[in-house]
Amino acid sequence: MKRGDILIALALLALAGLALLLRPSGAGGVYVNGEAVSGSVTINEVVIEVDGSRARVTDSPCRDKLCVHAGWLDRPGDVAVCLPQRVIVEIRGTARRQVDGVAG
Amino acid sequence: MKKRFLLIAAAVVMIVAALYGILLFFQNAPYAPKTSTDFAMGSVLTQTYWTNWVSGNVRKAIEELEEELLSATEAPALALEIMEASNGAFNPYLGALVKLWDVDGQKYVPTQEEIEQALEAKELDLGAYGKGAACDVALRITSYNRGYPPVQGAVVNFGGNIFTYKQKTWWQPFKIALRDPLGGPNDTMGVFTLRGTHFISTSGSYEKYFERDGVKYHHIFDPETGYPACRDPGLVSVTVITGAEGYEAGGLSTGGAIGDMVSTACFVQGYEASLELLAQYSCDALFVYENGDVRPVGRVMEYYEAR
Repeated sequence: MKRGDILIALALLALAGLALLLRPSGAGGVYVNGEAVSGSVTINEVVIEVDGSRARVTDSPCRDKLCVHAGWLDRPGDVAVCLPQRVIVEIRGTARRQVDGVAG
Repeated sequence: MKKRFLLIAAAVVMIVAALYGILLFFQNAPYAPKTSTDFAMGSVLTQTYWTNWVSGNVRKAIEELEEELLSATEAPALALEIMEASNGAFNPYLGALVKLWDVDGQKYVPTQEEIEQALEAKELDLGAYGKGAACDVALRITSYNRGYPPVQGAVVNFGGNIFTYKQKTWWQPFKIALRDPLGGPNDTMGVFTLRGTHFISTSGSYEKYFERDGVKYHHIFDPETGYPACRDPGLVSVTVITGAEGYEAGGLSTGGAIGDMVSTACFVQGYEASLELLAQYSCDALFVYENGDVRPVGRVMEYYEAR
C-alpha cells in the first residue's frame, strides 16, 4: 500500500500542476488593435515602434497627433489611441492590474 | 485488499475533482476578467467582464443608439429636464455653435455676430448626452444577460465615461483611476474604490482645445456667451459619479446620461452654482482646478483617494 500511496500523491500533484498550467494567463506585451505584435509595424498608415515590451507611435497622418504625443508606453495599461485612423496601441501585462479603468 | 484500493481510488478521484473545482472557482471562471476593445460612436469602447459568457452585444447596441441620436429632431425629455434644472448651463441646442468653432477640425475663432447667429439657430447636438446614454445602454445589455453564469461584474469604458456593474468578486471592489487633467494622457491623479453599479463622467477643458494668440479655446461652450465656459476661473475638469438606484428599482437606466449632462452643466456653471443641481440628482462630484486644488461634493471622499 505504501507504494500505492506515493503513486496517488504523485498523481494528485501532477493533476494540480496540470490544472495550474491550464489556467488562462493574460499574455503580456504590445497589442495593436487587439493583436499581439513583436516588432515595429505600420497599421492604417500609423507607424508604431516596438522596442521590447514598450512601444510608441512615431508617425500618423491624423491631424491632432494625440497618439504620437502619448509618447512611450511602457507600463501595463498604457494606451495610445488614434481615433481618426482607428488604431489602438496598448501594453498588456501579466502583472496584476492595479486599476480596472481610467476615467476622464 | 482490492476493495480497499478501489475505495482509496474513488476518494482520490473525488479529492482531485474537488481541488480542481476550487481552482476553477478561484482562478478561472468566473473571476478571470475578459477584456475587449472596439471603436463605436467615434470613441474607444473597452469592455471588461467578470463572467464566462456574455450574450448581449454592447457595441451593436451603442451603434443603434448612435443612429437614433443622429436622426433625432427633438432633444430627449431627460435632456430638456436637465437644461431647465441647470438654468440653461446644459443646452442640447448648441449644434451650430459647435460646428462654428470646430475645435476638432478647423479651429476657428468666430466673430460675435457669427456666435449670435449660431446660438439663435438652436441646432440639436447631443454630444454631452450620447456617451452617458451609451453607458445606460451598456447597463441594459449587461443586466439582460440571463445566461449562466450571469454577469458577475463589468467595467465599460466608453471614451473616458466609465460604467461599473455589480462587483468583480465579493472581496474585490472596482478600482477606477481618474486621469490627471494637468498631466499627460497616461497620468492619473487618484483612484475611486467602488462597489456596485456606478457611472463616472468627466467634462474638462484639457482634452479638446486649441490655442490662438496665446489664448486657449476648449470645447465646452457657455450657452449664454457662446464662448468656451469660464465662469469658474481655473476650473479644468468636473467628474460626476452617479448610481443606478432608479434602474435597480425597476425604472429606466438614466444614471449615465444624467452624469454626462450634469458634469457638462457643472463645468459651465462652476462649483458654487452647481451644488444644488448635484444634490437634486444625487450626484457626487470632484472639481479640479489649474493650481491642483480639488473640491469634492457629496460623499466622494469616502471612496476617492488622491495619489
